[in-house]
Amino acid sequence: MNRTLIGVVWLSVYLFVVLAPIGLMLVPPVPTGRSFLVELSVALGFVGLTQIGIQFVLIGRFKPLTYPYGIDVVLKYHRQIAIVAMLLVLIHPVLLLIEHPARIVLFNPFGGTYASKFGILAVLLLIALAVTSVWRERLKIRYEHWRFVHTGLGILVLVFAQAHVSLAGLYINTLWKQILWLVSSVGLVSLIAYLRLIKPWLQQRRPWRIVGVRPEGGGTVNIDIEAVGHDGFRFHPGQFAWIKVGDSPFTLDEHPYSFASSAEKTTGLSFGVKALGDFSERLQQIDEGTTVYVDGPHGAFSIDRAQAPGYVFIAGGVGITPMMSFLNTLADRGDPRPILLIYSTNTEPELAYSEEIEALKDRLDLETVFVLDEPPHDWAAEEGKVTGDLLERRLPKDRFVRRFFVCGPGPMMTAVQEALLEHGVPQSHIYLEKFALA
Amino acid sequence: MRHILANVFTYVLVIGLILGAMGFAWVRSAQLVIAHEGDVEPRVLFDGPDPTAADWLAFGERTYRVNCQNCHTVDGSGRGMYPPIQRMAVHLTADGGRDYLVNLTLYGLYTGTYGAPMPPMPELSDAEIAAVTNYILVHFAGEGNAPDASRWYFPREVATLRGQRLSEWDVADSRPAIPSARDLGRGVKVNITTDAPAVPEGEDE
Repeated sequence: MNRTLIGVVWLSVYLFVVLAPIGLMLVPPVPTGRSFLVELSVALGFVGLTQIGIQFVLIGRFKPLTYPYGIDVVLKYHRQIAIVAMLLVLIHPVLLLIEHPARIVLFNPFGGTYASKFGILAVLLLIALAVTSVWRERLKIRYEHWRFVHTGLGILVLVFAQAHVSLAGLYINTLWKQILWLVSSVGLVSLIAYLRLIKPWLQQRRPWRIVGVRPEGGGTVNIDIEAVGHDGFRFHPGQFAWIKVGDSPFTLDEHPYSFASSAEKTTGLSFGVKALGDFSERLQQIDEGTTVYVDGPHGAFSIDRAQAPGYVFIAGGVGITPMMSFLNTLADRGDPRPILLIYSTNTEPELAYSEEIEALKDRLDLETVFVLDEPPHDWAAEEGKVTGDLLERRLPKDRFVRRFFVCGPGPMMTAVQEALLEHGVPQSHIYLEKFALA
Repeated sequence: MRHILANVFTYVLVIGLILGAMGFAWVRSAQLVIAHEGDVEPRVLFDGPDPTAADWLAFGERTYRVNCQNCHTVDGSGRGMYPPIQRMAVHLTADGGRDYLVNLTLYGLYTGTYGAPMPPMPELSDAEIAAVTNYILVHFAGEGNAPDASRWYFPREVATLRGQRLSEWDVADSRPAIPSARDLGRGVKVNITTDAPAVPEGEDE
């Protein structure tokens, strides 16, 4: 089916699910109407809680769900809507208090009712969840610890919020409504079990083994893995996967890496790993023969999703990894389309995969532009950064029909995108990939 | 492009959700006006109100179910978490007790005995308050303790008690000196009828 169509279908389902609680509230028997502020407060509470519940679906890495949008967009949406949900949930008690100040007694954690106690508990945990996520780095929380805390707090928030709704809910006033809410909450929490228990269990039966660790330039290490006793998987060039290292797939210690290898090879994969954190550092020093587990492929940054008469790949630093996957795949497919690769790093030794790129020139209609910020004295190619002037000089004449794939540090991508737009490249022809997914 | 579209979607969705919630609140609170106009009430009101009619008790039960039952529970016991509202007929004969029973619904009540305050419910119509109070007095009275019909509330009596500007503490102070609901105990056996019509036959809501 058409990708856009699937995207629209899932969005429609999403809107239905998000609005279902409001619809359910209007199914008789309904309580008599109360003042505007109380009803608004209740509605915002329900809307906020629904969004919190939906989060468990968003982070479930369901490929059919994320396929139309790309999982990076879904995860970004997860962060955005989480903040919105928290604000809506916080407005809920405030409006109740404004409408009738005597309700202040409900805010006493030792007084109030069981409903208010569970509500307060859920809100406090929700705030803790947001603080530890937004300021994780400032609070110096390790990624693995944060994932554990994040998952745990998320489950507790939903459980306590469900208890609050069940006990307080004037709108959950019939048995079938109570059951519907309970079943939904249990179902959502069990998605965590799928992601953290069932999925690893399935991964355990499809292990991979490290067969090569090769240092490339710029602190990047290329790691080759091969499927052990299974036929691997197909992916689109430019996609990525979450990698776990070690004996057990039942760990929260996993990180996303882009494939660098050709999509035409299904049982042997390569990743470009740059030491950006503890996990990457460990991965760089790993021994051959170590078992790894791969959750993928994910992501929508792929030439397979953007057919065009030619491509321009613009990479900064370790952002070369998905470009290598593009180039290797196109070479294996014997693709005749013209390709321009613009690759920028600080110094010449930091250019990763440079030999491989040279070798690919024999098999592809490939033109390369290496851009160094600190070039050696005899450097003949470009120097500085990827700027509008450079693009003006180097971009091919058919720039308006080519598709542009940009992957690199955030500021670089922003600058390149602006420069491309200034030079008449349509927004819809530019594809960006941030490698900090978090 | 995907990211831009996703951001647009997020903004549109958030605005939609907030507008939806406001729309919901508006629709629900607009019912107050309808209630005051008497449109949702049984027509028995207009052919000489007789609170003893079966329609009235059904109306009281419906009002109880949608407004009170979530806290005070189906048998009026409150299950230890909320005040029991059984055997309330004793209030009717106590000094000031008759007004107190209506005031606590109109203006709320807070005593400190229970964690949550009784929220004021001025949005209920006079007929709803009269009907639900009668329903509670009769239905949760316990064997042989139900007040006789001459003591039941009429909507016009509720109407005279509106507009007093009482706080829930004022209402608590006006409580007649009789044994508390807790002391009176629970255990009233209640015949729960759920098939009673919410509104009289042929009336739309």
